[in-house]
Amino acid sequence: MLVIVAAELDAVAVAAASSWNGPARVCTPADLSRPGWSVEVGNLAGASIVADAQRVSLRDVRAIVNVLPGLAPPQLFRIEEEDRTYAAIEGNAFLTWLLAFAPCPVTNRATAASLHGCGWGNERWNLEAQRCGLLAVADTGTFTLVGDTVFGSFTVRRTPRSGPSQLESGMRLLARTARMSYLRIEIDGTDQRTPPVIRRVHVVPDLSDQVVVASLRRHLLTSRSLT
Amino acid sequence: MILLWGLQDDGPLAAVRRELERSGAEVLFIDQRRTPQHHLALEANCGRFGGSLSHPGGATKLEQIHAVYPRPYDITTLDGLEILDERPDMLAIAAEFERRMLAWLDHTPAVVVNRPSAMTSNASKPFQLELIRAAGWLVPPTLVTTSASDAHDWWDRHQRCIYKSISSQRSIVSELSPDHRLRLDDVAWCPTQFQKRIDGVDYRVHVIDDCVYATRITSSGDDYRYDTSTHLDWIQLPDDVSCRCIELARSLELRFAGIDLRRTPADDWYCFEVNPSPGFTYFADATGQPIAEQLATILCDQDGGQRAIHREEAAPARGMLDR
Repeated sequence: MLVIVAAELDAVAVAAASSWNGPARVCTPADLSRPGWSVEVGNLAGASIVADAQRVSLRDVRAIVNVLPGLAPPQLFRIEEEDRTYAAIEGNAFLTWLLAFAPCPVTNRATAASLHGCGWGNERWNLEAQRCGLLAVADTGTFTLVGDTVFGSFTVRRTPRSGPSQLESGMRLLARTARMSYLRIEIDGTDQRTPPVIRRVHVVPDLSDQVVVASLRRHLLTSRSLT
Repeated sequence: MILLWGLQDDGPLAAVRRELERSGAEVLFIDQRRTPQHHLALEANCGRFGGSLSHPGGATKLEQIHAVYPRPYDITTLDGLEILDERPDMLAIAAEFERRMLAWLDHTPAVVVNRPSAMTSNASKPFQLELIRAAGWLVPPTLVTTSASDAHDWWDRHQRCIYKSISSQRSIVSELSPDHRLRLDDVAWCPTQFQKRIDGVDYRVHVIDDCVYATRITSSGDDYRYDTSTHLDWIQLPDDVSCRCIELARSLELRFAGIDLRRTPADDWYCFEVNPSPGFTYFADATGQPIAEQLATILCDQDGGQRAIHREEAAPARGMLDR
């Protein structure tokens, strides 16, 4: 089973779940306020979670995709208003643990810094992209990595000697450094006087992009579990 | 130059500042309440961060800063952020400054006690318990659940249980009592953390690189922090426990850590939590442990404190404790 962690009424997540070619459920913030969650430290494989209002054993979950940026108090509408802020902080801490240590593949696996991987800011992404050689071979464009698959296109190209394979290996090295299985990077090389820079990094999988969904399916079905 | 970042009236920061100034170190203090008066220009160049820090006293190149002790508070909840009343946009400016500081602190070659990325692990207590367990420590059996029946089963299995927050929000640790039986259905609304109560004596262990300062805590309450009869003694840990504390701090990439242990009557040592930014003055003031001095020493070490000498700071003779 695939579990997509998403906001309430996220139609894109629901559509991705229904097109998964296999059992899939969407887990929303409202599910956190339903009985059925039970997780023990040191035994996440034996945990039970709640998705689509149903209790699910984590052993039956083949992979998790998280597109929920984080829990915000208004999303916890099943809880009394004065308790929502506390519940949101507790819920985020709970999801951080679960999405970091779940034994199945998780895209992107949470860390203590972020529900979506490494939690780097733009400065750090640029620094690491320089170190990986990515910015030496990249130019203006948007590039996406899912697992080992890289796709995207240059909108302007001023580095004739660099080929797609160099860009792909730079993206893969950056993703490995960041320990991320999904990245979408916007690179700006329009200023001819300075090297290209990363303008923005998207760490939440874009499930409206069918190429992303297909690549995620391939990646998650071939990834190994932690246990 | 040594950079201190936080609040003027923060006990640990003030104690370290006093020690640094006593030793004649050059200190730059960023008062968080005056954050909008500071600016950090940060640029990635050839795989390194460069730039400068502007402050009311002038500007400092980042490479001139060889050590940092950051203890920032959540700026969004900080009272008395100056200028804020006149310029509401200052909060955004302050937040941007903090964002850049955190990025730089994670990557500067300067000594940082501790790096922000290492300080996040206790934002989720069960997350951190997994790391502590992976480092080889006993941890209390812990369940997070929204299921009242699972909570009842857990309670029956472990007989005595406590409950506490999952996040780093400060909460009073409380033991489940018969009154709670009727209220356990409420866990359905929000994941709630239960732990088996481990009987024994509490210890707070401060680790600074390879130095260990251990305090035995005598308290009759479920949570010693809220018990007015709490008594603190500076003691020496068994060597193996001391070494494991050093290894635990290292595994969490913390140069300074406050480790909460409990020793059972069967002489098992459980680890409950590792505080990555310990408010050590509560313990140092009561025991005389020179924690601020040791922090100042590693901050002043121009070699980055890489010289690791394994030693435990011995508890002083009884007479010193009685002073």
